Amino acid sequence: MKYLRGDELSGGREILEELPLTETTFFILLSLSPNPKHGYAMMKDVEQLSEGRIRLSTGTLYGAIKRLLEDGWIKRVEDHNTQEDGRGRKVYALTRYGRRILNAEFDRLKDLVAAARQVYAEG
Amino acid sequence: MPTTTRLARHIYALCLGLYPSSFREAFADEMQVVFAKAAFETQRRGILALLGMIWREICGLLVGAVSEHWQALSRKELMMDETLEIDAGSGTAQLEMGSRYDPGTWRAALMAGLPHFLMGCFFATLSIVTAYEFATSRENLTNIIGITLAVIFAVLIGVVLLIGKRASWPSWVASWYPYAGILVMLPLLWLSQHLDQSDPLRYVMLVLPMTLALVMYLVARRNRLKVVLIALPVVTLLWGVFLEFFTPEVDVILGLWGWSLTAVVAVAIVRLDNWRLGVWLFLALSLLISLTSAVAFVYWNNIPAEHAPDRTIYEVVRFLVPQFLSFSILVLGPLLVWTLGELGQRSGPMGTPAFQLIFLGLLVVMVCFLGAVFLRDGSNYVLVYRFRDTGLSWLVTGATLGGIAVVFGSLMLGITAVINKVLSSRTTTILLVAVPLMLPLVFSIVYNNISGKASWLLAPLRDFPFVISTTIMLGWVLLGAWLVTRRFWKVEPRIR
Repeated sequence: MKYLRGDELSGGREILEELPLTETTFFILLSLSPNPKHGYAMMKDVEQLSEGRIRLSTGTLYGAIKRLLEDGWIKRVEDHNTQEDGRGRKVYALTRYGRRILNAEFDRLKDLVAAARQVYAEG
Repeated sequence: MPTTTRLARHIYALCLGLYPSSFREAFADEMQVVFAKAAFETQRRGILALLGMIWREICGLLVGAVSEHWQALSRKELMMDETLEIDAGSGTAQLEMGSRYDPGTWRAALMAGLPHFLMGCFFATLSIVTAYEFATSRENLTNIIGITLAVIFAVLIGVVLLIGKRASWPSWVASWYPYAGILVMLPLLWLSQHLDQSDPLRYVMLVLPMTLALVMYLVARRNRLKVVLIALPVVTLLWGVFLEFFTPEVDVILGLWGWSLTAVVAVAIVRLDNWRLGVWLFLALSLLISLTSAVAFVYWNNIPAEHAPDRTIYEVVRFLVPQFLSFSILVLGPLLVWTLGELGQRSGPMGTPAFQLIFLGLLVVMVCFLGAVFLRDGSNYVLVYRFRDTGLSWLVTGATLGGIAVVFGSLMLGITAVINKVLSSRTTTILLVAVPLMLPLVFSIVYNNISGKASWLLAPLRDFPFVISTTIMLGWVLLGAWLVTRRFWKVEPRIR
């Protein structure tokens, strides 16, 4: 059986090919960067991080989650804080590969801002 | 939780049914929870905020469902239930990629389309040469060029099959199988042209369609993509028989249109490597080619006026429907039977015998109907043609007995499948059993417009008004295609 794990992917060129990220993807990854979260927390985070500009519907959020899982950028893990009925709740966490992509996007955006600042400073 | 929110959640849960089953099984529960939380939070801000949120959710759900279905058709979908495994040690998810999205290469896709394209060129060349032969009174030109091209094509088929064998028979080679089959069956085809109607050797003719049906069934057990690829040229070849009734210009245009379309569909199916999409593409191709050919046959034929069909839409439909139905059976039949077999295996000790009874019954019905076509009329090159009063009572008796076997087997299988709860939905179980049960009726409707004696059990629809029976049968095709392309089991059955 052939497995592909986000953690095992490497190579800077592969990461650069994934950039730039869409705003939604960027905010979803950013939301997961401090700690794993479940769907509703991600939805709220995205709204908050985007200052209310992006309000994800449940369908849009889970469509994005599915693609990110598929690409190995995030992973689904059991939440240790189980629900009242004793069943484990699923939460989502960044994979190492997903984190590298997020960092790369962050660096790209920083470079853009730095370039813009330099132009404004000179002007 | 307030009533409004609870109601909204129930409606949302229903709407989630719009998503593909693999997606639902992976995310539907979570999505309901998230939706309920969001609805509960928003309700506090007032009814207008709640309505806005519900509107956003409906839009997101509709767009998401369409997008997921499209991806499922392109085989990009993640079958979470099978492929996403939580690794207990590292807590990481593992995604099985190998069987998930593995599109064929462009080379493989083009190789699948090539034989149909060549056939198009072959027939167009022959038509042009024939026209030239008539105009210049040169004799035997068509024969010489036709035989030369046929020999070149035969050699090419041999080479391709050798390449296929070396590559362990990849899917694209299936596009070449029908032509190799024609070469193998050439002696029989030749014999059929030279046998007298009363010659008992005509029974040998049954070998042709029965071989095709059995090949389709056996291939369907191993590789469903190949079934679709094998069926594609059959549509174009059988409609090609009607081309002799057209003027040379229409003949060339229709031939090129049909073969090019077949080639394009074969390329698309292999490139996407998706048999489920292939089934729908096959039906679309079959409908399109049948429609254009039927229109051409009714409006642009060069048949003498006293024999020509009336130039009406009714005549177009009358020519179109039986052909379209029989081509649909060619693909849907083996796949439905295969699905029934799987249902039988999962339905306990009575399941398999019930399936075997259905299978046997269908086989008998098919032999009898084909027997009526081949033994009486000698229309050996058209699967569906005429079913006049054959006077062969064994055919009618056989078809009736076969039909009874199918009915009893289906009842047995349906009951045992429901008792054993093989499928979560009882309606789906009943549909899955009832739709193949209709196969003998579909055989009978194919002969709708033809007078003659038929088994009382197998031909009730024949006596219905044409519009009603046609609508029922087209509905059957859609339902059958939906059933064979549906994922019934969490773990797809292993290909034997």
